[in-house]
Amino acid sequence: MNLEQVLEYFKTSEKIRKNISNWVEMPPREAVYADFPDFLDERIKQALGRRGINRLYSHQAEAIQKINEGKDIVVVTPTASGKTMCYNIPVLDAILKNEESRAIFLFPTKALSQDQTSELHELITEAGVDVKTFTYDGDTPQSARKAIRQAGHIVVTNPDMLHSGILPHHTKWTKLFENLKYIVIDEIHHYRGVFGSHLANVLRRLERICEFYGSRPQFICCSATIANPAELAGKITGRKIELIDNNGSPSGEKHFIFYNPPLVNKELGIRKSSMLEAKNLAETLIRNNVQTIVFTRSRLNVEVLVTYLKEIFHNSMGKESSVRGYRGGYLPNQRREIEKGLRKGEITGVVSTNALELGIDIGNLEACIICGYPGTIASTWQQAGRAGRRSGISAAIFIANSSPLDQYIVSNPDYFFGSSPENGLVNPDNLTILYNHMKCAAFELPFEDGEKFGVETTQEILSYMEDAKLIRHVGNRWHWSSESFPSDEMSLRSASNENFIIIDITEPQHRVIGECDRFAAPMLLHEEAIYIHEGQQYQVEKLDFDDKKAYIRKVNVDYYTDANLAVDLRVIDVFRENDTGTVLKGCGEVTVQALVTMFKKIKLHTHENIGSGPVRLPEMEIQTTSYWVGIPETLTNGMSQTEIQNALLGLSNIMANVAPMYLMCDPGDIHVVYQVKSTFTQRPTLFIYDSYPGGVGFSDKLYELHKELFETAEGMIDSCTCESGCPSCVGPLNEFSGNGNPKELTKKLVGYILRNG
Amino acid sequence: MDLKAKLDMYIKSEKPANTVQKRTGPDIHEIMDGTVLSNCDGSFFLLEDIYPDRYIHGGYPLGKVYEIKYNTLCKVFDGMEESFDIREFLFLDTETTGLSGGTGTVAFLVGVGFYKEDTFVLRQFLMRDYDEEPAMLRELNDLMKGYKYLVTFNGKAFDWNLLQTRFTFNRIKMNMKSPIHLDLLYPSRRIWKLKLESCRLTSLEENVLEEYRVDDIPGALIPGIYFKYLEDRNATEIKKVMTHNKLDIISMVSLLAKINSLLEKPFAESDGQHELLGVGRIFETGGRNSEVRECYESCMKSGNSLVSSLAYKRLVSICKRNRDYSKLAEYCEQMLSYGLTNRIPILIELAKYYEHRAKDMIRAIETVEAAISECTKIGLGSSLYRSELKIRHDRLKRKIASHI
Repeated sequence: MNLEQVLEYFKTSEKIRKNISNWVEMPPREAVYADFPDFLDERIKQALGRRGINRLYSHQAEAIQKINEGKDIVVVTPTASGKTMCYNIPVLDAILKNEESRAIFLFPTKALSQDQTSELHELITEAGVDVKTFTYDGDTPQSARKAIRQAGHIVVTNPDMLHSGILPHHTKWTKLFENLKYIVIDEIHHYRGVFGSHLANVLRRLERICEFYGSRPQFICCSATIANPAELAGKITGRKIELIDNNGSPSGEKHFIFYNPPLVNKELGIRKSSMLEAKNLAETLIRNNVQTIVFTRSRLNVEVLVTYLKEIFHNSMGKESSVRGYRGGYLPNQRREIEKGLRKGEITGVVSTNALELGIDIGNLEACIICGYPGTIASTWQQAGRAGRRSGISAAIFIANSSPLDQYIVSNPDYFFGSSPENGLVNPDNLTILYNHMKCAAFELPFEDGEKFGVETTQEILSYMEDAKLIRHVGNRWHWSSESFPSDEMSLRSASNENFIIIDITEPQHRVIGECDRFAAPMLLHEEAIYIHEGQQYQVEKLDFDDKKAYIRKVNVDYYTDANLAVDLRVIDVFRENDTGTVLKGCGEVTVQALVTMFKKIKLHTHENIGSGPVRLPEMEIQTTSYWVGIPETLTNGMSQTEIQNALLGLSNIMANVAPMYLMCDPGDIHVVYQVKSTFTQRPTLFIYDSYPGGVGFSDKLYELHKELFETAEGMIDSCTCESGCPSCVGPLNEFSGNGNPKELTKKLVGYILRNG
Repeated sequence: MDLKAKLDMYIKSEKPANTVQKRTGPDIHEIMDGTVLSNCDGSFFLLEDIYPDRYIHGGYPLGKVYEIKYNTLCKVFDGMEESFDIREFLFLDTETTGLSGGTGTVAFLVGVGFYKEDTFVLRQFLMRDYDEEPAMLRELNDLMKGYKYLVTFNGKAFDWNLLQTRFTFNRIKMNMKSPIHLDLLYPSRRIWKLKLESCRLTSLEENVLEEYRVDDIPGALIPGIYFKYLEDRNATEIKKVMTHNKLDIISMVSLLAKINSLLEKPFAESDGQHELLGVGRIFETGGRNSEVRECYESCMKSGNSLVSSLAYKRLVSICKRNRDYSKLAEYCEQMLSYGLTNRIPILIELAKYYEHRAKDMIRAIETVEAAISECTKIGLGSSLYRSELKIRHDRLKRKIASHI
């Protein structure tokens, strides 16, 4: 069977069809072309011509045009639409017109930078021009660095290297900074939250240095489809950004199938394993020689699924070796070999983590199975985009698991297929992040009196820094006056340098398996806690609070632990507030004190409480930003204290799932608490606050999205098939007390808020 | 909530000290002879000292440096020209606000030394605050114009690198663009690594030049002293830093003379042990074969077991490289006669020679037997040596038997 026939079989087979909740057929799309702009260097046109490209897609032409006009842009188009040409062509053109021109390419990962530049190399070779492109990152040998600093036209690097390896040594890069014409930021939607807030500040520093050397580079950004690409790129670059999203690339017919495994336990909402379903569907596709990629959520799942598939094809000639795994942790050579095997068609099936989601070149496959929702719509489309050719048909199958988010997506196709609700958010003015980058900036170049670094309060912050004896004001400038090297003291990736390290001590060879932010550590890593990592249970044996280390050992038990957290939240500053007279919404700065007093052991499946223990850890305190909703007591007049509490608890649980969908963050990046009577609002209030001190822009957005949040919550409750509450909607029933129906109580509350503001 | 309160809340690691230091002592011009110099970029403090070239430091007069020779030094310093004039040499050392480099580290004190007529002139450029840097660099740049050679200690990795950064930073085009750079650290390491725990300049000064500083400032404290001076304008400690910097430069002069003498007359000038071995290694990489052997042979006889055995090993490897096996056997015999070290590997080396080169199986087996008894004697009866020797012994026995 070919893919078309396999799809026909899926449609007709009763066993499969009954699990398909949605089947969207996307018709083929014709290409929209535009001619090469006149100003383009002949050598580029000819080089492209020799590769069979005699005109551009409309979005490419528009991008090149806008860049030529001096604009800063963000290009938003789907996978495989030729977006690298949107920056390769203008950069090359600029260098050919003036040999002195320079560009920086920023990629979020090393693997990606290698792959994206190979296309550029081909174009340079084809054009027969002398344009030097170098990768400058942690792996670049010392001996090669000097030549790169002097002669590289295009420096390919990542934000971390820019931050600690290039900017603090800018005097060694004078040629680059004097002539910097373009800064390319690919996959800009990756720079969200803490990482994005850091990048915005790294770019503020870069701009100061460029100004010092007399250049003003333009920004060329690319993003996956999100709700606010221009806003995100604007916040990160500090420029007004023009959006280019008139995708002109062609695509073949595509089938997008939502597959929901059958229920095995209705009350608990537990479904058949998505992994087993993925195995069956992949088997059918691979058996029919349909080149297929399967994405799973974890490295462990990659190995499990590969093992299953290899077993199945054990006896079929040659098939076993045509199924491969791909994930982080494989050696670079092995990865290159698999990528090549995929391009050449020697590999029929590959099971991968999101490592293959980014633009690494593996050719275009026919089918894609996404086992478990990748967390964001943008990621889902990037994964689905791995299957799809410019002509011919392709298919993407999303298999949901039992989690609330998966269930919401699989039963709400409009949410998925409509315009993106997902916002990439950053907060460049987060005081902690800003302050640390101002230190780096002062190290790089003295601040001038009256100079602004993103914020109006720059000079006040500098005075504070002077009091801290880090800088010295003399002769109208603030000079760095400390022995330390500030960029070495901070990482752009981890939320803070106060993270706890999690160490697995099961084997004699101990190894670090993860990190946990300081604030969440007492909840997740207290002694005796069951910590789950990549589906494996571990027990915490020792928590070294002072050294910020948790030692854990593999276990296999039938319970999980739940820490009792006493949270005291106080509002210390209000940024925005809107009181409709009935429902009050606001956002601002809060102080949160959290104390873990005890933990409970809860049996898996039945959720019985089977024991408890004390936790003796110090109280944690953070200052951060929060969004809040206060409900007038007139509504709750008829309700008992328990009912109010249950409704608020249900609302908290559902919001913990809803908010991340709009913020493109992990559930752990925000916290939700409720107060039956808040001392600040004097009424029942729900707070959603950022986990990161100072906030990274979530609360402000939640304030704006207020209505959508509650609409989605309502939809989630309505579409859930349970009787009175389950983990897919308002939370497991055993969390609630009393006899009321938590689902109805929560729905009532949500409905009231929606109708009253 | 005001910004300061918020900063207090978020930036917990840095607690402002809020105490504004008042001036607590005399400023630099009040306690030192130098002058405040002004130019178009501002002013800075300049101190000049003039030493007659017969001034003795580190056992040599400063004029000893006149004797340095191209043929002697070209092996350790790249790029030297055959004919040079000592008046083209600029000795340079900086004191900085940090050791990690980068654009936020400043050279607040630059000391230079040069020969003029029959004197050695030492000039120190001090910026009394950050805004004096351009004026200071401008003046320094004017001075550097006439110099072709740069002498430093670790200047390649640090001082010169940093100074270039400072010039770029202040957009002053450096007059001394790419000097012929004699960084004394590298030859010093090769000569004294074995003898001394540390090859830092202060260590060399005490152990090689036999100069002892009184009331010196440890280098690590210098940035802190400068920051404190900026606050309280009390130059008492800065004066010590200037003395420290001055001594560094004068010691560099003596060290250059010392290195030249060592390489020129290794036997007369060295300790005959560690230093000589180091010189031997420099000659070895420089390809001066006859001198190399002489050095090592002398080291072998030195009576110091470490030096002696290292020299022996170098000689063995040279012989092997040159396929000079009879000489190799000679060295082995000689080493054995000193009775200094572990004899077993030497006996094995010798046994190999008799077996494979001299083809004298009887002497070979005798040597192996001597090694075996040595093993038993020193309690290595069951060691790896022993089993290796056993195999060798058996093979030799077979070879002898087949020849009879």
